[in-house]
Amino acid sequence: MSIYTLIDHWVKERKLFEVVPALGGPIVRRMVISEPIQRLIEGPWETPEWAHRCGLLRGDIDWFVEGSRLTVAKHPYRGKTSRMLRLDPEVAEIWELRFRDPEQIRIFGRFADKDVFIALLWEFRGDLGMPRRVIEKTRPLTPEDFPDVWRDASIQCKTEWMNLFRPYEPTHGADLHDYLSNAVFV
Amino acid sequence: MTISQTPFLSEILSGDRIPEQKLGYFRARLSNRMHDLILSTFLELEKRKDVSRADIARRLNREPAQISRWLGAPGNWTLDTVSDLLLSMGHEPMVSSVNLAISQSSVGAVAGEQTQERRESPFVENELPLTKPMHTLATVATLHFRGGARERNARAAAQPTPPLPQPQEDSPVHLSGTLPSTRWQRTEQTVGLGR
Repeated sequence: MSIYTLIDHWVKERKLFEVVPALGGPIVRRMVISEPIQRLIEGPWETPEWAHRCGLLRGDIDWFVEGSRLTVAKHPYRGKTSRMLRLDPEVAEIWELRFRDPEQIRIFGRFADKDVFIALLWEFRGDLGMPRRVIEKTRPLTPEDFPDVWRDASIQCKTEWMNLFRPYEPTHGADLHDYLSNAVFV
Repeated sequence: MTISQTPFLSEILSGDRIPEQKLGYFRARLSNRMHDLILSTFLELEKRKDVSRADIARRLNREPAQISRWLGAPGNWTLDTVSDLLLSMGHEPMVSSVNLAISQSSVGAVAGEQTQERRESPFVENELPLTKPMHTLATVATLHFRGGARERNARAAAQPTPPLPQPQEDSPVHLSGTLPSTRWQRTEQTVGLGR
């Protein structure tokens, strides 16, 4: 059994959902999402404002799936306007998709293969919090400098992965293009 | 189970009020296209050493960090931002629209039948639907850019424009050392935003 078989199994069981571009564009990068993220995309939405925010999110997700150019941060704590980055510690292979204004949303997941992203959970950026103190100029930031909710999100992401895909590990790449096609560092 | 099995354009093409979610979707789509247009233009010119982030910052009287933020993601861009960034690179946007009614009929119910094979774009550029003019307002769909300088245009006309830089499998973007304790590094030949 390959990890692709497992993905197909969970999609069939409706534990995961395969994103197909709303307007029928090409699927260049696969994105398979968990139920909480699927609810963001498919609704129902409680308010018109939330529906609008989720529409923006859907547009950005389709942008990813259709294989358009992605900006990726080279360093976990820099490149704040990139669309994607790998969280520290990088060995955990947890990636963050960044969806910006008006109400910033972060989606966390892991790569099952090149251009196959498993999106497992989401958070509002505002709920994740900022570093406890500004220390970047004196020493590099570490995960411990951030509120525990970041660590919790990371642990939850790993747990979800284990529950779904054990014994398979996420992709470990030596190069950005081991993860993504048509991506550039910022 | 796949996402987007429903006819996504139904409310838009029916003439009913457009739901907020669809408005948001197309706004994100346009914003992303604008961003890609500018990023592609920048990467192409940077590769030719015709422009740098510092050049753009100087021409727009902005901090280089602001230019980096703009190039990283569209964020809260305005049309003014798009114009300014392209102008600083000697370009201006050229805008056209597509008729979603025609594009939908060409796609059919494709949203529920999508495969992983790459498809040709279903959209028809520069369609001007005289019978259903409201559909032409649905989106500004395709953006081109053109050089601002006469010399550049003449030079471009004389020779084919080189293709936009695309990441290659053997790109020198790599992690230094051995996994897992290393960070991204980039060598000098990398196509990227850094200088």
